[in-house]
Amino acid sequence: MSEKFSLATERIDAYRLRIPRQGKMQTDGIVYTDESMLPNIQEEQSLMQVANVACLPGIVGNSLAMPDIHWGYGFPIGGVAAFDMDSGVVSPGGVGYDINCGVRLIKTALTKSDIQSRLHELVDALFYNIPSGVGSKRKDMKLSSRDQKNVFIKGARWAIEQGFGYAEDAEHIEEQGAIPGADPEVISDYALERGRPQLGTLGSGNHFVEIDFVDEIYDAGIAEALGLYKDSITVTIHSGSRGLGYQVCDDFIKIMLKASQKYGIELPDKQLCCAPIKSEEGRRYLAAMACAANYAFANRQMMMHWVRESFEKVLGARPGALQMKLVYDVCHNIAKIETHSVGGRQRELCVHRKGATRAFPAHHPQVPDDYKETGQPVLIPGDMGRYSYVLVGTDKALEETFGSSCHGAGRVMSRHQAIKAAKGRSITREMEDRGIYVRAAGRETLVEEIPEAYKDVSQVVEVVQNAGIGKKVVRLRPLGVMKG
Amino acid sequence: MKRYEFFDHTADIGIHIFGRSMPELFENAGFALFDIITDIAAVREQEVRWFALQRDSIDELLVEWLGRLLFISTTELFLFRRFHVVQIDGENLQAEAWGEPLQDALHTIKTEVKAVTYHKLKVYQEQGLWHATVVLDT
Repeated sequence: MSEKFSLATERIDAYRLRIPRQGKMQTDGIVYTDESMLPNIQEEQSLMQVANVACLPGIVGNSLAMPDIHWGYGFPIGGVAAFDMDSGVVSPGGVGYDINCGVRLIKTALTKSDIQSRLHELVDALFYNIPSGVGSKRKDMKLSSRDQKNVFIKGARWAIEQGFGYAEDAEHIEEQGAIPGADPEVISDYALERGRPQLGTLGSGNHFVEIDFVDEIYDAGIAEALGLYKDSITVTIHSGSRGLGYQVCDDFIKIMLKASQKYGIELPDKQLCCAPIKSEEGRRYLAAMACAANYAFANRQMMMHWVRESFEKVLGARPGALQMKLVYDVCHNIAKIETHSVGGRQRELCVHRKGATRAFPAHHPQVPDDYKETGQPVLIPGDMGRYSYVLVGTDKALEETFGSSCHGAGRVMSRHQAIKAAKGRSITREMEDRGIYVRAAGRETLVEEIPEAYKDVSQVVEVVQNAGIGKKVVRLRPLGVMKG
Repeated sequence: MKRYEFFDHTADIGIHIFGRSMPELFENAGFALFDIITDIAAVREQEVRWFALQRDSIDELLVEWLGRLLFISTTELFLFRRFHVVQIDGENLQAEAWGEPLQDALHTIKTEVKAVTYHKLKVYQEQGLWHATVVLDT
């Protein structure tokens, strides 16, 4: 299964590789990567996946991949592709199973020295207050089907109305925490059943809550505008739409396999099955995807509330006293209807981001007012042992990548390889030696997530910065990690 | 004969399943899924579930089978350990599977499988043996 594919490629510059149109490709593929990262990419089949996406009907511009590209299913992870609203398609495989898997970053008025001696208590409190692990569900909260429909439509606002957070939080969430067009009627009973007990749970795998400190500042002006200062404490939440999203994707892949035949769309990989955006199948998928995306926004909103409560309780602070405010919340797996300038003309497009982050520049109408001068924050978590980064979107990203940037480090080892590499080691102890306190719901999760299973996120971010599709603002370093 | 083996896939889990017959291939696929999810030896055969599934092709039928097992496992917090195919053709499957509800004191969960994908999906016969490849999203 590790056969190498001979796709013709050519270097555009130090940070971009072109896969010229060949075979059934409708357009070129462009991969943001440097020479040092290329061998890993060539080992796997992700370049072929970029080429496969370029075969889909109605693709506008190039089939793109961000520097954290790796082998996914259907689309590569790190894949970005935009489609014409009339001739183009929407593909559930271009969004993925964990719809609106995403990241939110919370800032605080605390500094490293304020919490260093309380770190274990803080992580333990997070662990106690946020359900995590495989099949995690809340026993204290039963959602009625009416509640669930409200979650689908209102997203984060539903959670805020229930007392999980403040009205102002919604301003700092992509799409203000609710993607329009959600229709609860298109969600299957299977998906409802999987989603009902899981709202307000972290899940497992690469999902986490992490306490970090600001370790390095690259742009002091922007960092200050985002409220991030040297040594200040932040909290990052990484989670998505849980079983609801997985089931929505699964349901619609079945529908799209039939739709692809019906509309005569030739598929290089079944996982790329799709339908015209404005077809019945396409519209229903986008309406269901919006429900799952909004559920994910509500999920992260609730977990942020428990993060705030955990900190306040452990540190004996009044509600709000720690100034724990949302910096931003971004989607990593999503398809969005957006307006972009293509060849000097404004066009409405369906932009798929599969393991990629929206990265809109300063003054873009979708960027919140208080970030108008800085650009939209782009949150790039790394592995649990090294760094994470905060960037902002740039004009160049808007021009070249439909306003998109990378989303994380990207794996280099399969989970199976990671388990082998970690055999006989105490990962908790190794992390403790680095000054990081880690707790995980399952040992296996911890082992799969060892730092060396990932690319060095610094390298990924360097390519983003040098290619101009994001601007570095600060680097974060982990102190305490809760893994699902 | 091995029931299944892994093939490396960076982000997820690729499995290659073997069977001397199509029914055995499907039974071994169920075994592989729960061998990945849990320590399957600790699961007892206390309850049975019945399945009658239909899809357009044999490979899609395999995804349907694993997907339905996974659905029951995640919504009911149930683990399976033994699988029996009653009847199978290229589009229809009737099967039964035994297991028990997940109990923290008895069972460990190794991996959360989010979904059964269609990427690299293949069911084929080679030198008298049935093979299937499938990628699990984890």
